[in-house]
Amino acid sequence: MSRFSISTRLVFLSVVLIGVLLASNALLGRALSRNAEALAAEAEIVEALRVANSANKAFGDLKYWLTDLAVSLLVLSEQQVALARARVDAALEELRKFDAETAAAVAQEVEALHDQGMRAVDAYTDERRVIGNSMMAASRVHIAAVDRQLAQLADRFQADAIAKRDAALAGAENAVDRSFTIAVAASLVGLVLAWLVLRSITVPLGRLVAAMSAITSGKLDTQIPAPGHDEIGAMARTLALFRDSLSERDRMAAEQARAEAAARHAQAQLLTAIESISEGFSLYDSEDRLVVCNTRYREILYPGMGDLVVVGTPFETIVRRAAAEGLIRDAIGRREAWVQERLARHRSPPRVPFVQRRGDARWIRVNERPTDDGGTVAVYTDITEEKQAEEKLRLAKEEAERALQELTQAQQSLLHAEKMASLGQLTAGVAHEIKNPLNFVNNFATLSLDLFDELRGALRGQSRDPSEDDPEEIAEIVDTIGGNLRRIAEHGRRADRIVTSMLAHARGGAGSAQPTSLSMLIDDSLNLAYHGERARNRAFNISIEREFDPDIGELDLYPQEMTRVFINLITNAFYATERRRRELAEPGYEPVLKVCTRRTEDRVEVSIRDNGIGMPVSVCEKVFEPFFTTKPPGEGTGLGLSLTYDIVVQQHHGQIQVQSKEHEFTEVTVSLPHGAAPAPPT
Amino acid sequence: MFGDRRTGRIRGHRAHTRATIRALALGVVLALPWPAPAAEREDVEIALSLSNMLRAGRSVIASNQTLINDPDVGDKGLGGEVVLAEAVKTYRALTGSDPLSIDPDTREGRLLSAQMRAIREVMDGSQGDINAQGIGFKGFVPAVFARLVNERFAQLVGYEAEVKVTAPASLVRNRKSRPDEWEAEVIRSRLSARDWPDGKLFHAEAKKDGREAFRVLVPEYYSEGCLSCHGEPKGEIDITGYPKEGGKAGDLGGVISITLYR
Repeated sequence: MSRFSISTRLVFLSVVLIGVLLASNALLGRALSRNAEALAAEAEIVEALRVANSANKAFGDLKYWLTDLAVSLLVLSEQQVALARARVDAALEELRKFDAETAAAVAQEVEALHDQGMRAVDAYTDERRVIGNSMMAASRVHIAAVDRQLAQLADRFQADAIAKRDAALAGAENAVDRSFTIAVAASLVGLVLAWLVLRSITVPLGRLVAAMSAITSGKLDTQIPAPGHDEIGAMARTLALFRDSLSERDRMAAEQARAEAAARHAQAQLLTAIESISEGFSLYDSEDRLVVCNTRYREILYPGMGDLVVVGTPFETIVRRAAAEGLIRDAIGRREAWVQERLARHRSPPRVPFVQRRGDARWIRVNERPTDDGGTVAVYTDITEEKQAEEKLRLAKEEAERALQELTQAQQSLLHAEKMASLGQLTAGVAHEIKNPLNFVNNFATLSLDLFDELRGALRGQSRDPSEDDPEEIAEIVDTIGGNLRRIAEHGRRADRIVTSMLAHARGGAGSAQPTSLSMLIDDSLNLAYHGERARNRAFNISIEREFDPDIGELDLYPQEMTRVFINLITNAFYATERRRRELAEPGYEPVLKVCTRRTEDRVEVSIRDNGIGMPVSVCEKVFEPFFTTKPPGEGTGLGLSLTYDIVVQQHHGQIQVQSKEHEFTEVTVSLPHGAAPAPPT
Repeated sequence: MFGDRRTGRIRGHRAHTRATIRALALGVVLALPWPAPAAEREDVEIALSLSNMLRAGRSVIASNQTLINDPDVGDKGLGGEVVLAEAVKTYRALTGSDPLSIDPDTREGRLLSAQMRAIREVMDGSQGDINAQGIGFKGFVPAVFARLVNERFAQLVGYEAEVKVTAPASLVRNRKSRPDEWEAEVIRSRLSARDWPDGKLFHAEAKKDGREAFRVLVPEYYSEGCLSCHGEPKGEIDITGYPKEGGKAGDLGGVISITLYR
């Protein structure tokens, strides 16, 4: 039965019970209907009997009132006679439906009686008593006839009524019996069906309730009855879901307990960590009350205030007390102002930590940060030792700076000395260089003076040679003198330039960057260096090869500084070839210096290559270090290449490289940017 | 029980009787001076005498009604001679003339004597009823008295005259008092008419039972004393066992019909 829902079962039960009820009602109704028909028939007879009786009664009235009238002669009695007569007539008219014949016969007798009676009354009224008596006596015949007929009629009707009533009663009893039987049978069927339906509900429901009780008492592994298709089945499924959700809830509760334990552990760890760090730590909530802090916080921030620095104390209370107890250096003498500043800073912490000077000369770095929930977290670091170290460092730095300044002064002296040394080195070459133009000037001047004499003689005609008197000859002499004068002027200018150049070098001033022909600058440097070397060493000889790129043009340079660079490099090259010549004494050795310039896209390269003594790599790595020199003591300062490096790299933003092979060659390459403005010299 | 509507009820007390008589005399005086032929005037006077004598006898009974109704008193002392003497005395007070002095040989004397004899004989014949002990109301009321007197009168002089107390048909209680056709018609069309003067009698030549006659109808009106049986509420049973008619004081309650045969 569990295939059907409970409501379906109840509806079925109701339908069956209603059906039984309807069927029994129908049967009973039919029986009652038949009985009603019998009763109706009986009622008709009873009605006839009633009519007969009412006729009888009305006739009795008529008899009475006729008699009364005859005695009293009252009009009232006469009226009653008329009324009684009317009632009799009406009853007889009604009786006609049941027994027309008798009714007609009775009516006839009544008419006769009335007629006779009223005539008797009239006789009495007229005081004819004897006639009245006889008429009254005659009327009794009619009275007897009517009484007899009505009595017979009543008897017949009564007998009929009794017969009909007995039949109706028997039918009713029969119907009652059948109805009772049907009711009993229907009740039995209903009871059995109701029992079946109830059982189909209560039994599984009982099992379900037992399962529910077990589950609610905690036995989640309880077996739930297999669900049917009805409401109890739905309840069983729901109970299964409920049990599953309880299991799930227990599982989740266990998980939550584990998670909470883990959280507590993590919190304990966090507190331990906070407690174990060397910095002070504090957390104030959004209303500035202390939430948590470590022992270090109490020790370094508020020693002796352990009673106050507890959870819940407002920040303001703590700092006011600290200020009052003189724990804060900055608060001494301006306590209230400091408290207000401190509170303001606490409420809106600066992005960077700040330092607090303490009354005991210690330094605390305070690093406050707002938390997301409006509180303030702070870390306090005792930086007294850092501060002391910083102070020591500051003193050391000042010492170093003083030393550096002295060193710089010494360096300047050295540089000046080096400059003077190189100047002296150059002086001989310069003198020689000036001597040559001067020789030309002297020779052509002397020659020109002779030609002037010749010219003067020719003009005066005192020529010893007639041919010389020729005007054409005069013109030739003048031309020659002119050529000589031009040569004198040219060599004079050359000497002037040399002197100017040397003076510039000696002056050593920074000057200014200016467009300069690199080729001419290198040429001058070669000349100065060569002649300088020749002046010191008459035996020196070298062949110089020039390969100048014609596209180089002018560069923005400090010409004096750059001249010093090239003189330095070329002089070193001469020195190397001279050492190789002297130390290796190779037969057929010919010193060669090759100077090349080359233009690339944005740079200019100058390479100076000699086939001198060369350098091992160990030396090569150190050549630009100050005070490094391979020359014997007294010959070099060790600052030449160092200065060269500074001028090329730092002043002109260029590069300088050295390649060398011992006993074979050394090549120095200077690379300068093309078009970039050099920095002023230091 | 009928009295003059102008004088109120007639009672057993003598003072009331005298007042009633005076009032009845006034009514008679008013009725007399009608212009009419001498024969007719005589007839009307005879009718009024008979009517007045009947009223007088009736008023005697009415005055003694309480006594008559007393179940404890045996002999009421209302014998024929006594009642007639009282009636004559009342008549005399009423009309101012002595009925005993009227010549018995005249028609009026003859008829009046017969009426007085009827009064005496009815009273004498009713002594058994009136004096019966243990019975309160014995049905002997003025109306019954009047009917008995009229019946006796008819036995005595019925060939010459009849006196009858009738009423509008709806008010008649005893079928012997029913109006005949002529009476019913006159009562309906004259005496009951709205504009019929109070107390005015009606007379005419008319047949009765096929005989020529001079007929007079004298109206009588309900007084307060009448209404205990004939008044309101209508339908309530009165002391005689009859339903009350619902009448009011002043309504036409009865008619004395006098027939003088030719």
